[in-house]
Amino acid sequence: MVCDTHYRVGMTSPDDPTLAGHLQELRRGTVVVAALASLRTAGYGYALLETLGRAGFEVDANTLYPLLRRLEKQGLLTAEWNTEESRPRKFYRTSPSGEDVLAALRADWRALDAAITDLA
Amino acid sequence: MGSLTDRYVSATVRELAQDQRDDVDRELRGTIEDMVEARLDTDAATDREEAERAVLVELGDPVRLAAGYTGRPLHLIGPAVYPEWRRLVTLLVTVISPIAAVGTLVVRLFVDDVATDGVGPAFGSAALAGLTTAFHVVFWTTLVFAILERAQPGAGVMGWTPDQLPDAPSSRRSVGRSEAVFSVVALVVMALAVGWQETSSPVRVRGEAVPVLDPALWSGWLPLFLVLLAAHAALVLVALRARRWTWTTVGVGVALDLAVAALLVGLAQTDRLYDPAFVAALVDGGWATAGRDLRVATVLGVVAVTVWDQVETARRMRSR
Repeated sequence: MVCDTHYRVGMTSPDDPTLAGHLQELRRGTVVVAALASLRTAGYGYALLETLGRAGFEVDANTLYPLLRRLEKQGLLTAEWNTEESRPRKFYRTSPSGEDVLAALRADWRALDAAITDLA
Repeated sequence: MGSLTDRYVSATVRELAQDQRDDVDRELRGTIEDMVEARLDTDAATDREEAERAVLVELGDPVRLAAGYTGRPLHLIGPAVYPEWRRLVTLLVTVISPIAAVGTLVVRLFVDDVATDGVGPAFGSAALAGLTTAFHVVFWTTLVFAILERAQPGAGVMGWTPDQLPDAPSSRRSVGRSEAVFSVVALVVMALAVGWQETSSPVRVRGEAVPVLDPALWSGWLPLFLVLLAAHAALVLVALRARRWTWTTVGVGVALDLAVAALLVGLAQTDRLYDPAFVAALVDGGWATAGRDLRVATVLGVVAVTVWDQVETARRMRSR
């Protein structure tokens, strides 16, 4: 499990199904932010999956690959086939409008964090 | 490339739009290959075939993966239309199934020779008719909603307004479904009984069924009686649709009640209601005063039922 320290609060443990459900809800949208941030340097599907996994974003392969296509369709990513290597791979890169969306999402993320800090 | 991957990729791209297929096919194959190699590199799998199988298990059902690409729903009826689907199915099943069952029962009792077959087959086919109708209602309603779900994802069909709220049970003016169904079924049974007494009257003289009501009435009063029953059934359905009785619907209901009562009482008082042959058969059977008793019982019965109906209506309208 990722970010173990986050779970050591009170009686909750990472195995607690209630907590797991809430964490999943909370993290749902963060994959888009992470993908847009990571793909400022171009990358292909499986490499991104590994990068995100190492960074602590547990995203399923069958969620990430369709997500990349959707972001491409929305114009937030640009895609290009790289045929120079042994295996042709589709490389994705964050587009200028993807940068704008990323900036807006990060600003919102910080605003949420600040708001929650104020509440606590 | 192993045949499992071929089958997996073709099962996935089959669900996609034509112009997406080649691109997704190519990328998905590359991705699977990447994942297989990663497994072999980390010794998570010892041979290629095992790794390939594990990767496909990780990627999961191709229908689900394809739905991720297309954005097509992975449910038959989604949250946007589910409440409306449930309301409609409940309404239709509780209204139509009992009508089908009771209608079948009455028709079968009317057609079957109860003396030789007993009533078992009639009840059996009534239950079957109710069940079959319920299946049909659920199936067709679900089909229509599933199509709507795909035609306009995320959008409701009729929307919801507070006017659709069912009345709280305390309000007597509200029209309950079961109450309306009962009324309609009772009216249908009454109408069918009018036909039944004509052809299969329980009273037989020398093997011939003798109608209870005077057959001469078919040339005028009985059709009018049936029309009044039909009008009453229509009124109940109108009230059910409006979900509550209004002064207009109640007024029409009272007028229909009084018309039926006047018709029956008038015919009974002038001895035109019952078939003279039927009364004669009763007298022959030892009931000497059958004619007078029937007349008095009919008039008292009609008056009692009509008065009771109006008392119920008054109570309903007073307590809102």
